[in-house]
Amino acid sequence: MLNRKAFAEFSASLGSLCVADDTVLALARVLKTGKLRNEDKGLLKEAEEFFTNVISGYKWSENPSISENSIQCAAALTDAINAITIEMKVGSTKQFLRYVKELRDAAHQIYEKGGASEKKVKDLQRFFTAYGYSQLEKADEIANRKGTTEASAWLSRVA
Amino acid sequence: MALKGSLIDTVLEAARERCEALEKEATRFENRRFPSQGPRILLNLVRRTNDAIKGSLRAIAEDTELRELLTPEQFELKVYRHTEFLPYLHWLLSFLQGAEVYDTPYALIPPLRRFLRKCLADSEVIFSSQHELNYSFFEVAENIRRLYENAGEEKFKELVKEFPSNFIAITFPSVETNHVLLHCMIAHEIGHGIFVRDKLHEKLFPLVRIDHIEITRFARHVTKPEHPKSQLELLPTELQVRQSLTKKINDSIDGWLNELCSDAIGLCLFGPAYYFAFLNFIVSFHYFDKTALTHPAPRLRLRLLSEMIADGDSTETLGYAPYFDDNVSRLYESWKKEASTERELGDPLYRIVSQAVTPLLKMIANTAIESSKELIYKTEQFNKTDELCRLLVNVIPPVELVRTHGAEREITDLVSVLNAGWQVYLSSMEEFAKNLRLDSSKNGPESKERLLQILLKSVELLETITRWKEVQIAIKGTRH
Repeated sequence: MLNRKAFAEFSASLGSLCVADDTVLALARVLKTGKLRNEDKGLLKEAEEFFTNVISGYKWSENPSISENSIQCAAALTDAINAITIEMKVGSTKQFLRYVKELRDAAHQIYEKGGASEKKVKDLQRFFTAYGYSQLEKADEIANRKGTTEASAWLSRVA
Repeated sequence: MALKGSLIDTVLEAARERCEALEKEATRFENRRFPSQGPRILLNLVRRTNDAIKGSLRAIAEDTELRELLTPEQFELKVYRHTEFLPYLHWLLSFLQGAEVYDTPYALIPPLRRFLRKCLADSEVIFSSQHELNYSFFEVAENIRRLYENAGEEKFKELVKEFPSNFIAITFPSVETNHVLLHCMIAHEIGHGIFVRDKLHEKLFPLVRIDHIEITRFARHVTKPEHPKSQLELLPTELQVRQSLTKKINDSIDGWLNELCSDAIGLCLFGPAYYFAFLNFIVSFHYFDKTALTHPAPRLRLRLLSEMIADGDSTETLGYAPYFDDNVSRLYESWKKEASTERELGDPLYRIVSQAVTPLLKMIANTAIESSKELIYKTEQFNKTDELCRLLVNVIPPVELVRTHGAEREITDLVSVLNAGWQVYLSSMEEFAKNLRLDSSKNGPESKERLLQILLKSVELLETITRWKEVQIAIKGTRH
């Protein structure tokens, strides 16, 4: 029997997986037609917000305070790192931040202008594919009772 | 299973078979007897979701456009997005195992459900006994609803339109099915529902002060410590440190405030019965300073509850303590003392969280009391449990207060019965056992078992009286 946190994480991961998959398909349509469908605009807006949250999450410890938004940003930062480590090698902290900003700008451009260069669309699609798989992996782990994702115990031990 | 085509076709075929197996399993539950609506509502959701997934998988298999648009990896993701619902549905279905009438304290369920719906309209509850030594109480509706709304397709959103706004799942060891006193923990779960409904985090978050300097010191220490060079490559990067501390501090503050507030509301709703159940529950399963991302240490939770129970006419106390009998008072004083002892937490991040949350205990109590308002179990009600205890000790179900001849009958309530039960359990078991005329060697477990049986019977009688009154009112209404 899973606990409350595991259930909440399982539900959230499954939800994020669905959103990631929808975004991948929306971007596939942009690649094929060169134009974002009206009904997919919400997904790209959500994508832009997600990357904005990742950046805020990254900067949170410089001026820490708690709010609904700060909790979302913390989750977004963790999810983005998990997704990026699945497929992409982001060597340094600065590289990570630059990469996330590029993805955010690409999402913004597609949402605002209905399209972007093929490279930008593909980069974004690659991210959301990896994001989807990272959420799938997380859901699988919980379903198979491999535990929840409280991964920072090692950090406290180092300290 | 006929294997054909590509690997992904095989995945699709296998997924459809899993759906059919799940459907069969759900059908097996159809004819079982459950003590409330909750299990059927859950079963219905599982069946309809399973149908929706089957439909989606069929549509994906036949959609040629998708195969053109997506790479094989992306196409697989689309399939897995649906198949990953299957373990989720199995998980929901696992609640029904052990939720049948004879697996549960069925006499307690209708009155608890009634109480739950008084606090949170449109709520359901499911009790499920499991073959493991673990109690769990949690609300599932919010997570289910958010998931189905994120699922994208309109048919998934439709599935949760009729789902209750609160659905509390309670699991307990099958060997303790009738431990009616421990089931008072449901008050905490109702607290979670009220916390969400009244958006109490919005009142508390602005008051939280996080020690910025301590965070910076921590981050510097873990990234540039005085470790030997050979260990340097094992050290976390700045990105890892930022991620870990940001997630841990945010999640912990959110989780701890939610738990503490739910404890405080639980106390408002069930009075000392919640306090005793909490203590009994916690010491059975966790050590006193066990701290987690989602839960503060039991010591801090007990401190909040003990302070709220204390005498006083402030807006942060409920004042039950003066009404305890001598035995319970002694226990209360010793627990309170233990709870107020300061212990430094080993984990530096939890220390930061604790420093941010602990100063808010009074505010948490105040917020909970304000939010519970007319649902608060009043000291006047608790004061009357003294009479109920006397009935209970004499092996009489305490459903009615004894009044002199001619006076109107005074029927008691669910919460008062549970409070009387706890007081007898804590302080008068010897006398109770004596009145049962049990063989002295069987005094312990058997008298406890008998106490729980009488309490369950009392709750059942109370429910019958309540329903009888409702029917009377309804009949009068139709006559007029």
